[in-house]
Amino acid sequence: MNANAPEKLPLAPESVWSRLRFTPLGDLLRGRLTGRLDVRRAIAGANLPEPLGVFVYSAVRAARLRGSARLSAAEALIARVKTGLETGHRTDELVSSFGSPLDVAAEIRRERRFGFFSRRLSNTPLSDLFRGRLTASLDVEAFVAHSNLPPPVQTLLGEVTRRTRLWRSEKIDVARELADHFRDGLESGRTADDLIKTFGDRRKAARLIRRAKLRNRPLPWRVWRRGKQLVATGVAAIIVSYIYLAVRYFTARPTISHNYAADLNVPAESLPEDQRAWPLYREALMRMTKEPYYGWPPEKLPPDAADFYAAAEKPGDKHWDVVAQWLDQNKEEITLIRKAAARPRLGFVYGDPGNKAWIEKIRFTPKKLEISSENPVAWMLLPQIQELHFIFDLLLADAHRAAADGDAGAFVADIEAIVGMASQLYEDLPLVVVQLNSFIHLESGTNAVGEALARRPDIFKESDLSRLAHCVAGYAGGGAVRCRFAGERLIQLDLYQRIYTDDGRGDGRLTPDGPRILENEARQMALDFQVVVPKAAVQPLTAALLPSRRRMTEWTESTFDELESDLSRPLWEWTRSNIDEEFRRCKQSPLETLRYLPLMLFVPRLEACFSYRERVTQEFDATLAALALELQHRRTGTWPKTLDELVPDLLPAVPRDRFTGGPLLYRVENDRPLIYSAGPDKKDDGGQPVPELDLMWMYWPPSTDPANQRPPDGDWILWPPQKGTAK
Amino acid sequence: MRIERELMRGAGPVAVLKLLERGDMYGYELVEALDRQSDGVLAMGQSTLYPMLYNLEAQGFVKATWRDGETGRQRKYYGLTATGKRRLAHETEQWEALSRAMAAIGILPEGAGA
Repeated sequence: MNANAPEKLPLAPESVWSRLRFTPLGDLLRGRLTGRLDVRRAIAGANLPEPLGVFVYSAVRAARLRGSARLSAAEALIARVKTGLETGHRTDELVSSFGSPLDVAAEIRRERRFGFFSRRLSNTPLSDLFRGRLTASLDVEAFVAHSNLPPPVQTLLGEVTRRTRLWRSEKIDVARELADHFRDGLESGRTADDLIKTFGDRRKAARLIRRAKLRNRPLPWRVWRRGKQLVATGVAAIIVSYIYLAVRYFTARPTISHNYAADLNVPAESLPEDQRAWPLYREALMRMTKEPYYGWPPEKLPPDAADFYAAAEKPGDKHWDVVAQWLDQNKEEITLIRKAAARPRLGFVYGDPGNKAWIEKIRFTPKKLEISSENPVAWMLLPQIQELHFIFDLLLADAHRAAADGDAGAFVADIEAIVGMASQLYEDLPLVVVQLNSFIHLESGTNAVGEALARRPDIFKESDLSRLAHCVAGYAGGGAVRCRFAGERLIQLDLYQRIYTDDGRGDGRLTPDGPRILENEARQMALDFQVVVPKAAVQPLTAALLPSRRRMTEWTESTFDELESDLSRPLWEWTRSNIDEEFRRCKQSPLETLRYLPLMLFVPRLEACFSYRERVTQEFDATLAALALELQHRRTGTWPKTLDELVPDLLPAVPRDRFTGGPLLYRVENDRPLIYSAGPDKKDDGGQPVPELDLMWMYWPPSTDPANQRPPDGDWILWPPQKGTAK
Repeated sequence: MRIERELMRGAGPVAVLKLLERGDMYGYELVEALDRQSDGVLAMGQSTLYPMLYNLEAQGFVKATWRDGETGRQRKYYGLTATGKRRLAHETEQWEALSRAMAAIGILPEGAGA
């Protein structure tokens, strides 16, 4: 018995207060002070033997119930005790068979729980509810408690059924069957301990019962469960995969092991000093007076300053006197520039200490012009190219003045310098932007020759014309003009070492630096497609979709090979490049854009390279043909009937029309020769110029825009120059 | 003698099906019959028997019904289904073939598989 249990049954106090405390409200309202809720009174009234009375009181008190619930529990227990006595059990037998008061108290509380409405409702099958019966027949705990099996067996039964985690109807079925089994065992004379021992492992039994019972469930449920398991497995697999990818991605670091910018610097560094033009250009730049209004902020320019650049190209223009003054101020520098242009290479060396003063003059940060592996090649600055524009402007203006003044010697020297400078750029850094600058200078030089030849042919002696022809023909070594992407290839390889890891065997995976660098580059560039860089949380997944470093490198090499091969074809053999098509396709899909973004960012635009190369080549050929015509005219006094007559004495071959692939078109009208191309319509329109020759017609017929399906009528007049055509 | 788990896994269900061939039985009956008729070799506890019965039920070899027993108490009786009978026949054939093979190589005495 519990240590706190009283030895004797306490008597119910007879005070008014005590009676009031144990009187139900109903009795009070009737004006009766019964005190009948006091269990001591009920126990005393039952006339139980003292130990049983004490037992009942202790058990009811330990059950911690109040009011009528407490009284009901006491009455139920008194009834059980009385039944025991009536069936001949002794007091001590009864006390020991009940166990401790605490056990009985727990049983009382449990029994009380079984009676709760909500519990009974939730444990009643719907079929019973529909019949209006609150049977609580699914209450496994109540079933086990009321099974009349020995407590250890009840415990086993409760534990096994609970562990099966089956539906309540299944649990009750299992509990019933197992209870029957134990009952049969007990009835056959076996003890509870023996039955429990031979039962087997409880956990294992519960697990096996559950597994077997689940197989008995309806097919739709099993399908649903299997689906749920598959989904859960899938989700788990996704989560595990994501964690793996995330750890792999966020721990990845790039290794910058090669200085590609230094590779670009090597050719210039290895040139002997006396073959480098840049030191002389630099000296001229340090000494020369810059163009009027150079470096002025737009708001400080004089009102007509904008016209200066448009109207000061040749003598007679609005601002020519300013230009003339500028040329006079830079006479010595022009001589120095001509000397520089005669050297074979530009020879600009990044990190050359000799550039220090010049860098300070152009207000550049020296660090930005250092060759460091910290700076991506894509960020390589080209201030020398910008500066050469000032030199070029000076030479071109001087050439125009020489032509106006009839100074053929100065004109030829200036053109030789311009073409020499263009050749130096062509052979310099193998970057598209540098090559385009070379084309710009060559085009301006050849146009100046064509214009001078058309306006003032009289100023040139035959020897001047020969010199001009040789200098123009000698551009870039005299071969076909090509677009080369060696620098762009290095930019790509440099980018990959900054965004990928390096496994030492040319492969690697994307690092968190990758999206950051790509997003930054994409933001700074005027792209014709949208780039959506995913948020950090999604990056591990997208990184897994991106090609590996090796795949990207291989794709880069093959792309550039194909690009160079495509661009080596002349306009008349032009078809849209596969690479171009592939890029167009990629740009339509955000995922594809992202996959190939590292390559798409820096691949030069085909149109820019190709169209400029073709335009310059055509103008270059026409200028040589014009010079040859002038020489022939001087020698024979007449214009030839066809350009064939100039071959081979004055031209190695008749230049080709870039649109048709046939000979360049030529005719003589009113004793004036005309050199022209058939233009985008590929028809000889008798030299009628296209009003506005849009460069996009260079791509005829690849245009897919229905509005532009028909090329404009007319020809591309190449010489003599005509205003408003072909630019 | 305790039979290895893997062997029991194969022998247990067929033994239960065989017992049920004679008529419907409830769990305790089966346990007793298995123990008695196999001299304890195929004795199994409730933790093995009931999952096995539920599996046989799921496979459609036995059918369970609650009904009053001889003592008037409700019991869950297991009976062999037609599928169960076919299965028993098939399993019996297999065991016979196995026994013959075992006898042929000397593991079982001569005539054990006959």
